[in-house]
Amino acid sequence: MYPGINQVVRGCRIQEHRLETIANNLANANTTGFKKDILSFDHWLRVHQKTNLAQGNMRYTGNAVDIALSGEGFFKVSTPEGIRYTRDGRFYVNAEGQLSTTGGHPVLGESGPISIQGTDISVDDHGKISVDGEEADTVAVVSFPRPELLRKQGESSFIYDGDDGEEPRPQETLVKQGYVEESNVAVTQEMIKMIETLRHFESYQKVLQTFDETDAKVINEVGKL
Amino acid sequence: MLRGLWTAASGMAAQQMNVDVIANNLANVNTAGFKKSRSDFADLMYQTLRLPGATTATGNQQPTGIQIGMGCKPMGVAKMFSQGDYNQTGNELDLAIEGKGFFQLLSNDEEVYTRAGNFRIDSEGYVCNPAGDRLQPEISVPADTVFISVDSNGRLTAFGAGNDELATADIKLYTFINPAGLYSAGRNLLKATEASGEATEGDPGRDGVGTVSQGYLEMSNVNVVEEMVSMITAQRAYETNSKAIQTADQMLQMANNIKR
Repeated sequence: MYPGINQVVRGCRIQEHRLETIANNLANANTTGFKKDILSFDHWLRVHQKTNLAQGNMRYTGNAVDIALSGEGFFKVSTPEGIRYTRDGRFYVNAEGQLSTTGGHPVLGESGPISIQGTDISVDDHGKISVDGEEADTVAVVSFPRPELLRKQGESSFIYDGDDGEEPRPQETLVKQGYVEESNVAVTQEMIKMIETLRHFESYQKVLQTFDETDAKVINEVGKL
Repeated sequence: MLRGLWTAASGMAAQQMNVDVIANNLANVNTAGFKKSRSDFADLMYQTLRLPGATTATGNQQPTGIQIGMGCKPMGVAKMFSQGDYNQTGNELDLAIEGKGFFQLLSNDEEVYTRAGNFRIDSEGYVCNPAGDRLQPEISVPADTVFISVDSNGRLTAFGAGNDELATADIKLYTFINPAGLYSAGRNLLKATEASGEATEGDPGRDGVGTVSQGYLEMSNVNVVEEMVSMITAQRAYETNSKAIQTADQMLQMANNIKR
């Protein structure tokens, strides 16, 4: 048999992985705060995945508790499993009066969960929240020295696998009230990658068929001599 | 089988729900007091094939991991309580709320809340909504009333034939800390839930519940252009996901054709 055949089978498997990643990006093309994943391969056919943290488009909603980040960084969310990070700023005020995510987890400010007791909520560009004219808290925005150690958890949240002591507040980042950050998936790009994936898969299939045909020739015809 | 098939299917299901919500918003574009809904999505869990920062066989640290996502899921459909436009009707029992409050009604012995202020008088003289649910606290208007006036602080006065005051009553408004958590019961009615918190009673014009305007109706807060654009994006996203399914299908077909 051919030693090359294993490489080709691996190639097929990799294209499958790639399609899965593209399908997930496309499924989340309308998910607020979603960051696309990119798979790449080195010349040993090893897979490398990177989450592209590029800014998504800002869409105006006018909703007082829709908050988007313009620039790097994440919101901090307190969940029963520990601290999580998110870019999905479609918040709500829950029954206890805390600012919370769509999943119902409290969003953290500089001094713990943000309590909102009042009706008129305003958030300035630096994340300072005022309720009925009185300062309530400042929404926590954190960045990471090694963003590649962020791992997706589902429900638009990330977990950080590095040391959690270092979480500098990014200075350039603006907090925008009344906006949501759309997913950063570019559908055209993903479609092209999908076509590419399909055709690569097809090429590998042809190579496997050629191996098969050659084998058939060797077995059936060479022996006839 | 390819995970991508199910991932794309989850995206299609989510967009389908998105379109359902948009269709309901559009259907209620002329419903008095209707508040639009918004569907919120989030990504599903991830299957981790390799952790970021894992150590390789050669002792190096992998700079990145591999996580395959499973698609998208609906997280919730929330009502958006922005103010709707006012429509002047001149009808003396059309009341619009300017602010965050709700009217309380009693429907089937249950307290329900509404923003729709198209009230009328039932056979016993009580102020009620078109379905006959009485405004709470109950306000009855004497039978010989000629006209009714309601000021912005919610004071309802019934006048008789000689412009004499027959009765007065105060309309109360109710607020919730999390109106997005209210349960929509249909017929413009909302019910309190654990997520919305208990209703807080307040007097119009004070307590931050808003004011009442007589002769106006609050129209729905649905913006047709916005909904149309959302519908286009939802439809296209649906289409995109169907293409991903086709691609996954073709790849499976090719895999099957390796053996001829």
